[in-house]
Formats: sequence, C-alpha cells, structure tokens
Amino acid sequence: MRPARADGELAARQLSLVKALVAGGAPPAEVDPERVRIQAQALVRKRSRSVARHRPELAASLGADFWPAFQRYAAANPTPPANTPSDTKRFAGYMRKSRRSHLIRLFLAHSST
Amino acid sequence: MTGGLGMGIGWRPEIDLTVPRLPGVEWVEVVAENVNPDAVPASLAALHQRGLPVIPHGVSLSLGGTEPLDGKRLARLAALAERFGSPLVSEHVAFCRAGGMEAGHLLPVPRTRAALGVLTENIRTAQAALPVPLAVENIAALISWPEDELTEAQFLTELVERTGVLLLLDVANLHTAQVNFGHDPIATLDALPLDRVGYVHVAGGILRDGIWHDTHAHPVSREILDILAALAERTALSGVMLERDDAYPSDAELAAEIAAIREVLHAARAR
Repeated sequence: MRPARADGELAARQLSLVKALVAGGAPPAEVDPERVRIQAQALVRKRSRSVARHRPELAASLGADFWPAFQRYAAANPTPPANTPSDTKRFAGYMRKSRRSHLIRLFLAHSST
Repeated sequence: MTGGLGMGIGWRPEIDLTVPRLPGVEWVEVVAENVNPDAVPASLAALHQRGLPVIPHGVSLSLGGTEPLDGKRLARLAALAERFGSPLVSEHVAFCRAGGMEAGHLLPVPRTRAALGVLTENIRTAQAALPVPLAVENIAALISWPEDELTEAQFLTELVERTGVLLLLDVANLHTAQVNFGHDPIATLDALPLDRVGYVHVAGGILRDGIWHDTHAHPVSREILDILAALAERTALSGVMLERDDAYPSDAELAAEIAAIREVLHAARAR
C-alpha cells in the first residue's frame, strides 16, 4: 500500500509543476523558476515542431515567422490541446484571426488618410 | 555487443522508407502511442515480416505519477508486444500528467522514498499487465527537485531491486544530467546494476544558454559517444539504438551516425 500522506505531498508537488508549465501557475516552491521557464519554452518548441511536421505547408508559408508566431499563439494558449492535430487546427485558426485583424488595421489606417 | 538485439534505430513514419535501406540495422523501436496494433503501417509490418525485432516504447504511461495507470495505454503496450512478439517493452521513470492535466512532456519525479513507493507500485502493475519484461528509462531533465534524497543511480538501482525491472539506459540523458545538474555520467555508470540494462538509447541534442536540450533533432556529439564507450567497456550490451525524431538528415548521414555508434562499440570491445 502507498503511504497516503507522502503521496499527497508528492501529488501536490507534481500538480504544481504541471500547472506552472501548462496553466500559467507559479513555479513549485524552491524549484528554480528559470528552469521552469526553460522547460515551458522547451514544451512550446516541441509543440511547434509537431505542428510543423503535421502541416509542413503551414509552417513553410510562414517561413522565419513560424517560430515567433507559434510563441505568440502558445502564450495565448498555454494549455496544449490533447493532440497535435488539434494543436495545429487551433494554431491555424489563431493565424487566420491575427491576419484578419492585421488586414483590418491596415484597411482602417488606409481609410483614415 | 554479444548476441542479443544488436544495432537498432527508432522507427518513425517519416523515415519508414529509409530504415530498411540503412546498413546493419537489426531491430527497431516504435513509439507505442503512434502505432495502432490493429493497423500497423505496411512498411513497419514488412520489416517485422523480414524478422526484425520490434520493441514498443511508451511515452505517456506516467509511471512516476500519483494517479492510477491508464489501463488503455497499458493495454496498448501489451497488444503491441503481442502483435510483434517483442522481447521487451519500455517506458520512462517520469510523470507526464497531474490533476487531469497533460504536461506534454516527460517530467522528473522527485527522487524521494515516497516517489520510489509510487513508482514501485506502478511498475509492478505494468509488469503484471505486460506479456514481456519491462525496461524503464532515465529521462533528460531540465528541472531538479530540492527534495531529492537519492542520486539517479541510487534511485534506479532501488527500482531494479524492488521490482526486477530492466533498465533502458539513455547515454544522451546521462550527458544531459551532467550539463544541467553537474552529475558525473561515469560515476552514475559505476553505481548502476549494468547487468540489468535491457538496451541503450543514443541521441543528439543541443546546448542552448548553458542548458542541454535532448532534441533528437541534432547529430550525436562526441561527449555522448564517449559515455557510450565507457558503458560498453564496463558491460556487454544487448542492444544499442539511435533515436532521431526530427530534422531528419539524409540517408547517408543517418547511416554514418549508425556506423559511428558501431565503431564506438567495436573499439570498446577490443579494449
């Protein structure tokens, strides 16, 4: 049988790390926050590579902007979807929306002159 | 290597046409989450048909998690082992979810007595559900816990002694522990029960701002091959394999990486 109390503490520690990585929580007490930040970023990088593999033409169409765009998307969506296809779909949706707002800004700027 | 599996590579759909052409590949490992036992890709089925052993490697069982193991993930590992007649199955000494949230990553467990208890119970559950032996892998970590009571070698040794589990030793992850936490890989090798090593992972990574990232997307560097050499000098290895998961190089480059690993093993045996 598991020692219940020790387990509870372990579960709480694990939960606080996962929350810090994917749900915007604070880093677990006494764990180097810089390392937690690096781990979170590594996770975003891994997601971006999976998305790029899933839809290479989407990544290619963004070229050098793919990684910065993915970072902006991930900052807005820190909790990774269940799988790569849904992450890709959400990222594509995010890009369409941000392109649309960009076009609207351009249009309004143009029409006000 | 004496007998056993020999030289292997991680089978991935992106390199499924390359793998059969690589000289001297004697077995493959597949990521369990990416291969459906009831719908095995034709290229993989063909390799298996040719007699190459296939080892299922799970990445999401969360053996170090405090929640009960997911029966579906465990059943899939078992089904893949049955489908391929695998000699063993592997997973990680890690957790990857908590409180219903997926981390999307293999995370280190605190090396405490409490975590040993949880891992022991989960490993026993997995062993009971699997038709073949289980091997567990040391992970590449970026984070360490202040409550760690044991070294990685002590922790893994305890798991082996308590459960009889085999080890999947990743030499790139020993290098990761050296760069990221200052743990001497040779000291780790000398403290591990090397006769319990089922097989060995070799992979490339990259140093970014003083931190080692185990990317599986970069060439295998010399330091990692040196750890493999030190390991091969200490014990006869059953199987050694290259993991490449992204930024796939040309067939020639992959073949050269495999040849370099072979060379290290050959030289170590000659000493």
